[in-house]
Amino acid sequence: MNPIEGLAYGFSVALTPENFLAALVGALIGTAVGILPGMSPTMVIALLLVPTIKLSPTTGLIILGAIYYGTQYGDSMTAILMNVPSEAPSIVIGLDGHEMAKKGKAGVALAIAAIGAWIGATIGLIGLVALAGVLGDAALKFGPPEYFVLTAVGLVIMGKLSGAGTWKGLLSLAVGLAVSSVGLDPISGFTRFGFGRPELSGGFDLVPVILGLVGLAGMLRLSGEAKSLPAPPKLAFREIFPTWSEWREAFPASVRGAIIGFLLGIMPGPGTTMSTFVSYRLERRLRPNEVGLGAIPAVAGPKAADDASVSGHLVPLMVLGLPFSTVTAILFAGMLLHGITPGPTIMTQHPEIFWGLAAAMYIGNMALLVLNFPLVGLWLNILKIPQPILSAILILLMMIGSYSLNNNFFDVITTLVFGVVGYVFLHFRIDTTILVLGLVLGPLLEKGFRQSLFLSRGSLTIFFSSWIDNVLWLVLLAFIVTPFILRGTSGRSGGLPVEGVAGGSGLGQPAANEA
Amino acid sequence: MYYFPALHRGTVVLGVILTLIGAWYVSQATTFPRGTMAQPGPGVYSILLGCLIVVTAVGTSVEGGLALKGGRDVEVQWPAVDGWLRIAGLLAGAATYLLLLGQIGHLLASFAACLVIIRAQGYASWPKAVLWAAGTAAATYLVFVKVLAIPFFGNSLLG
Repeated sequence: MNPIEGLAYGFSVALTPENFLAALVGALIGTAVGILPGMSPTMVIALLLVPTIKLSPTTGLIILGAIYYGTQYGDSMTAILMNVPSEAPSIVIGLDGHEMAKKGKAGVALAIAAIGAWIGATIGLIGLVALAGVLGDAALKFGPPEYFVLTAVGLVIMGKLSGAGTWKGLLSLAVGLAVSSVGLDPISGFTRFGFGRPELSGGFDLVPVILGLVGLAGMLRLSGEAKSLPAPPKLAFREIFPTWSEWREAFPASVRGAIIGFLLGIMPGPGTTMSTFVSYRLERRLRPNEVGLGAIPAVAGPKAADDASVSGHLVPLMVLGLPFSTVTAILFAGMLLHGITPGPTIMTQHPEIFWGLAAAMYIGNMALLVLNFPLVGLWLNILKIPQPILSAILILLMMIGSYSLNNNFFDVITTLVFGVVGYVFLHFRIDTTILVLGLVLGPLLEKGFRQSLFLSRGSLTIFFSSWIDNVLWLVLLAFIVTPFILRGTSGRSGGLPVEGVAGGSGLGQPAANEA
Repeated sequence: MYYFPALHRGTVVLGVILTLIGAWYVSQATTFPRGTMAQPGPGVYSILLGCLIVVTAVGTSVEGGLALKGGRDVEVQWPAVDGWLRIAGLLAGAATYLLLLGQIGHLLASFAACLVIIRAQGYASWPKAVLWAAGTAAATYLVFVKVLAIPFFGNSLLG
């Protein structure tokens, strides 16, 4: 199946009544929950993962993808209207978006963000289709050593990029890897850290740990802060249509942002956050006197980058089976729950999943574009639900989500314990998303390591035996050495823009906690 | 807001705690079968991981210590007393659900948990809190027990 045929097949899967409805419902639920201050996209998708398990694998993943896009848009709405973003990308979108709102152009800013998201999704889809086939063939050449080296290099890069400092990032990664090592060793059948307890012998399930670290920790933080929020502005339907000149300003910025977003999304690291910052900086360089004061391109570009990066994140997940972002890690957990292991063979063994998800994410974005204009009043009304009620609903959903996975109490206790651990880590600026990635990728890393040593009869040279390995090691070396060289030549830190927001948005998780 | 412990001081303490945990992890891992280099057992990877925890935890602690030495500590915005009470309320609600689910079933356990959380979060009106808790419990009962058919303890209406 070539990419065009694949995409056509994907649309035929996504447009079945069941899947189409799932995309619409997911987009609406995502927006409704995402607009709530403090509810970050990562938190929402972790929370709603379990209820989708009862659906078929394709429908379940389609609804999760749509929920994610919807939540991203909902978070952007809160950033634009009230300047209360939950994750770093929305901080950037809200910089000029909220300035526009203060000038009475909130509706236009929302429309520009929706169009930017759609352009981002379109370019992301094109990129995904173009790259997936090529990389899929290349990925078949990956053996255990290449998988080990790629996973290790990716994790180290993400640890360094965590925004809270290299040591803390790597510590979080090490803790995640250690948690993933608990339980039955799949190769020898030996139980590690079981202490004779049957619950521990099976190891920690991904979902309860993720629910605790991402969902419960964020809820505890929100509850502890309980900031009084500004009232949402009133918005009439007729106020949301931009003029022709505003469209013309938004379009090129969206295209630029989408290309940046897709390319950075493919790479390991906080691609969504980085791409929105890079896009914003680019727009500021192009219009230094306008950006910061409510410029349309500074809303359209970052929003397009935000959505395109999601398609970029799907490339390593689908093609190599390696999730290099928190959201794709949660999607990965969802796939495992459905009995599907993503990787090079997914396009041949489960084309309905790969192409169906790609097409459905696009349809979900179209649905957002069509539905969000008339429903803007409804979304604003959601903000009137009292916070205590929302807290009760969300905690209950978390507990049910943990329990219903295996119908045991151990998973609920796991969520509670990791929620408290995550809360403490958040306060000391230790990035828990890296912990989640270590947890998800740990078994793959160990499998690659041990299988490689089996193949080489114990020789470590196997990790330097192919050109793929060597290129990856060089990338890591360059990544480690470059900041020192830059610091030496310019006397300036080689830090990333995300470091500037590591302290967080003040609601939900710290802003840099997006990977 | 209370500002104890501050960021760098807390980082040092956290680093020390995780160093100890890492050392314990390594000591446990040395009891696992190690195999040979050609056929590594489950102990090899675990020992490497334990060492990674120790090294990164020591690095984190030293980094915190150096930052502390180099200048003033950074305040961590811990919640005030009422914030801690709200957090305790959330956890108490979750614990209520956990403890009651096996005894009285999902519907009543979720009602009790919601009531605890809503009140602990500072929602003033008892009648409204009861109504919201009842509505939330009923909605989750319909979705999770009736529609998604999750086998909770006691699938009947009252447990």
